Amino acid sequence: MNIEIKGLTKNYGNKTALDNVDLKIDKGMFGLLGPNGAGKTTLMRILTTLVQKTEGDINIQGIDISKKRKIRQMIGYLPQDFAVYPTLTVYEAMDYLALLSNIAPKSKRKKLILDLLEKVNLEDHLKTKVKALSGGMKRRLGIAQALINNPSLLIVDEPTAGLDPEERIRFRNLLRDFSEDRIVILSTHIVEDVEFTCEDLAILKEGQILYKGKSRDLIKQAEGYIWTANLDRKRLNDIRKNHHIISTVSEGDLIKTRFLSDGTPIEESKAVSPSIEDAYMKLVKGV
Amino acid sequence: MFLSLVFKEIKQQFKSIIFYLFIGIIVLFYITQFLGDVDTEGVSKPIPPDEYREAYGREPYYGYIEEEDPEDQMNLMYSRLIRDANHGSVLQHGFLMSKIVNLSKGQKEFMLDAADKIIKEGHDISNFEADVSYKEFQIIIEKVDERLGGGTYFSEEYNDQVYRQEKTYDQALKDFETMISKDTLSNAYGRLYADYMGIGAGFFPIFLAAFILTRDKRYRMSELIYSREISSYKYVFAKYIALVISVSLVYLAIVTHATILVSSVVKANGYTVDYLAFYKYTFGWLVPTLLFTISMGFVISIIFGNGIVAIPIQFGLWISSLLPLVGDYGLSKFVLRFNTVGSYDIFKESINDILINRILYTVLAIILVGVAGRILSYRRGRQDGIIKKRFKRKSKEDSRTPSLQS
Repeated sequence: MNIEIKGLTKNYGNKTALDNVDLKIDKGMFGLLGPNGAGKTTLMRILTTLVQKTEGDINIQGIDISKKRKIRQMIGYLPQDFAVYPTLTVYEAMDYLALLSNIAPKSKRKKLILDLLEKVNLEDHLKTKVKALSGGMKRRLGIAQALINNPSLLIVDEPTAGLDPEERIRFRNLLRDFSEDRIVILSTHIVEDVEFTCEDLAILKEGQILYKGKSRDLIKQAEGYIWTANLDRKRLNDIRKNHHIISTVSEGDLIKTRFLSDGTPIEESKAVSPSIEDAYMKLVKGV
Repeated sequence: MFLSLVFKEIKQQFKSIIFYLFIGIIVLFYITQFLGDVDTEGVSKPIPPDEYREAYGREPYYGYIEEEDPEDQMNLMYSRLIRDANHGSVLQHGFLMSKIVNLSKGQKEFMLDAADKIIKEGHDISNFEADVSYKEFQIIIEKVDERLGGGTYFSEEYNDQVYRQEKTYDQALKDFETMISKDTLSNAYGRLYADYMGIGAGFFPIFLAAFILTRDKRYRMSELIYSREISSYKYVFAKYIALVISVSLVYLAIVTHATILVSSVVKANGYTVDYLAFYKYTFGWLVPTLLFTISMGFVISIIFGNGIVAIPIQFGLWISSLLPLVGDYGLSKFVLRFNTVGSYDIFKESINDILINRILYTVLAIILVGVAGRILSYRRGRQDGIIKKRFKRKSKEDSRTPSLQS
């Protein structure tokens, strides 16, 4: 199971959303990182056959993306803006979407739905109206519906946005559990989501691939660039002028500052081991 | 699987408030229009004029009969021309409503000149004898309508309301006997039912149909649905059939009530009852109207990506199809009118036209739904709208923000 993308370009009028993108994605969790407007959603929508490419080739398990019916059989999709007719109950929503995935007979649908709802801990909410679900529960329903046709490619777009920390962790774990024997593409601008779930990732910025490969290799690239120092406010403002601040934490009168620099920035600073978030920042800021 | 989907869509329909509003309107239409015309008087044999005058103290009215003889038509139109010119006003039919228009001096003179062309000045008008051929007469009358601004009784569209005469007792009796022997009262009322309910079927279902396919967008479900395996045709036809069944169920309930009511009246008057008459006219006469109206809602809403547009378009078609009340079953009419009890002869003469019309609109409805499916199939792979907007917004913002390097 793999996805091969070669020279993918997508233009909207004279604006380029994706510019000559090459990617190869194999089985397992794959993170697609990038700031807002980087082209992640466009790429997701092309893969889900919702948007047509301008140029390039895409093959999913050897099948060209133009064979929409076959591609749709293989994919499960959780859009960023997941919503269902509000009058439906959880079970009815799953059953309706299963029917749209051509799953028959009724008994098979029932078994599948109950299994999936149990996996996402919604088995006690079969008769709850979708509109009454919390944000986290709705996302879990979203992942369950995306898996109803047992897809070999699961695409989830910004799934943790707006979730509280506990639900976010729970959701990541769910995704990891479901990534066995299939490709899961996780598109997000939240680096932490990728850090805890994906071994492979790509970083998009302004429609171009800045990085593709293992997350550990990305981290390696940032070694020697991440610094920390305890600074007073005046010094922090000086640092801000010349360096990219990654994070600040108040510690008494001082502020513990983490920042990017390609050489020893100030005397009191010391180099620290980079996290994936640091490496992402280094890449996106072009340090 | 297809049937399961249809069933689910029907269930959805029965959860919609708009659907219950629709039921309310249709039932109200049935009560105020059709039930108002069902009375035992209409079922009785026509009463001879003398007996009628004695019983009711007024002149009897036996309905009217369409005048088809050219000479008689010219006579009727000539009288109308003189009467309206002397009265100084005419009724003018507009797109939405009719109004009485006062005539200018020039218009009155034009009308009287036209009358003089039909019967030359000095000729005897007591015994009508036209001085022009029927074709010349038609041209003269057409010009009168043009001079008056169109849409008057002198136009081809509305002249049928002039070319009619009150039935005599003998004509009414003959009509009644034909209805009893060759038709049945049940059939006669069945046609009246199809006529009244067809008016509603030609417009009100648009409020349901126009928003079915746009509902996915409204509830932000388009991406979820369009990325699934189901074919666009199957998806659209499932929704279409579900809506047709849901709406037909409403009509079925009403027609059952109408059958029970009219059958009891017909039976009480000692005539033969045809219990299937109303169902026959509902499915053969009214359902094609329903099929067409709903298919129009589907196709217009998907073309424009907006349900509202379908409403005025359908309204225009509907209005243009409502007149005349009896007798026009041409292919341009998707609502067929038969606003009379009886007139079996007209029905018998028109039956082929009616059949062709109903088949055409049924086939057209299926084609339109197929077109809606084709458009959906094309659109579901081109969901660029949201991203396009985002890019447009971004490029606008970019153009407003001055570059740091400049």
